[in-house]
Amino acid sequence: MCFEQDMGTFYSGAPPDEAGLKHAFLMAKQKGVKVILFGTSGAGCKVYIDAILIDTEQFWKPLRYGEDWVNFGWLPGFETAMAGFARDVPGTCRVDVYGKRVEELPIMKNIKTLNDVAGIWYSTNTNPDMLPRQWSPVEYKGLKWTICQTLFASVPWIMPYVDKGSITGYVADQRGAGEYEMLLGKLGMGATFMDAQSLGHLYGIALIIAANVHYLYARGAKKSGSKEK
Amino acid sequence: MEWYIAVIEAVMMLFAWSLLYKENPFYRFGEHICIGLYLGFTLHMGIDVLLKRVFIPLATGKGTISLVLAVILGLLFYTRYVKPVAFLGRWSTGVLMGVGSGVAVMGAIKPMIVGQLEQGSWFAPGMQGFNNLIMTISTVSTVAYFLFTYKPVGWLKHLSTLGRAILMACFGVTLGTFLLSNIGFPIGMMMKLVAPPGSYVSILALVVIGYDVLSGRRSSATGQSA
Repeated sequence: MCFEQDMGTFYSGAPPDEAGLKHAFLMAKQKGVKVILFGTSGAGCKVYIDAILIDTEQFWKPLRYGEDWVNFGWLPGFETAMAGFARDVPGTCRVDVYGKRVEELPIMKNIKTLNDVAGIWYSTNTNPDMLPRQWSPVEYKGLKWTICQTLFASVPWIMPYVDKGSITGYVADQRGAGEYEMLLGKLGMGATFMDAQSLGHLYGIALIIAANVHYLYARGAKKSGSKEK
Repeated sequence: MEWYIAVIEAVMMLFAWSLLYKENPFYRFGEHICIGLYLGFTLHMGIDVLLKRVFIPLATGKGTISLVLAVILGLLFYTRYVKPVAFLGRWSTGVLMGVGSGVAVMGAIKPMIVGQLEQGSWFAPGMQGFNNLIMTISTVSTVAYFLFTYKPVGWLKHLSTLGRAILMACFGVTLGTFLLSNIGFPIGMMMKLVAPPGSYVSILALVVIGYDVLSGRRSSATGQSA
């Protein structure tokens, strides 16, 4: 799971990311799925990962760090780091957040390239283009799926990639988080925020109607005033 | 979460949002703290990464030739402070730009160029065929709108008008989804301000704003009477 986020985008990115993370940890408990966490966008992504790990503590607590899951924090280099991860995982993820070398982590034993990874969860609030550019299931046959977690505004942006299979699916913003939580049966931030969002939209619609009524009224008054003159 | 963290969070949010009322020292304070913290943290992370990934491996003899080369290129950036050898810094910039562009272009060819040139059938089952047809019409008409070589008359005029309508619909969708996305930010923050202990800070902020409004009115009224 790669997080191109920082604390400035926490309330938009964290609900879907936490839902995805909970799912990953549940799969780790039930089916032995291994979870690798990192970010490549900037120093802020390390704090972001720490923050979502605090919120999902009860899901990763019983798992063994280094065997079931690992956190590499910030891998500097942005897209170059992503390309490096695809071709040489141990060479890119040299040390984890605790300073442990990749060779000492049992989870990383058989992971050499992206072909050894089953799926990627890529979370971004900026540019989703980098996911199909560097981590495409079309390019890496071992990679079964890629999920892009992004802003609602970026959905039209990534749809052509989804159509062509360069991205397998997407989870968009708080609405995507709410839907994911419903499917997972573990309600969290996404479901809570969606209630508030629905009310916010009703308020927006009310403002649009009020502003239009005021505009029409003012225009009518202006017209009748000019006729009287 | 510890109560004092929630209070600090609420205070910082209200400092930032106080700009909506008017420019004030609380906002300035919050702004400076935010920028200072971010820069401080970025510096800390940079040093941490350099220590773990560069200095410790080099000091313990675990460094590779590529790592040594990267360190040399990194150090060359600082030659710009010494005028006679400042040109050496361009090598680092060149390598950085070259690698960045190469990595991006190499990955872009298949999904972004070749993949997008493939046109799906108009007769595909379900809505897919209809979507493919819409995509073809949208592409052709939008290109027609930006065709400045010929004067848009006759069928080209109608096609470019359709292209303009499609562009407007597209911008509308982008704006609408962008607004929808942005509503999410304050909603998440608002949760912290309406539940204790953040709500106590919100009440205090409302009292301060109320006092400022009243004192402002009083002083303007005194000014008018004088």
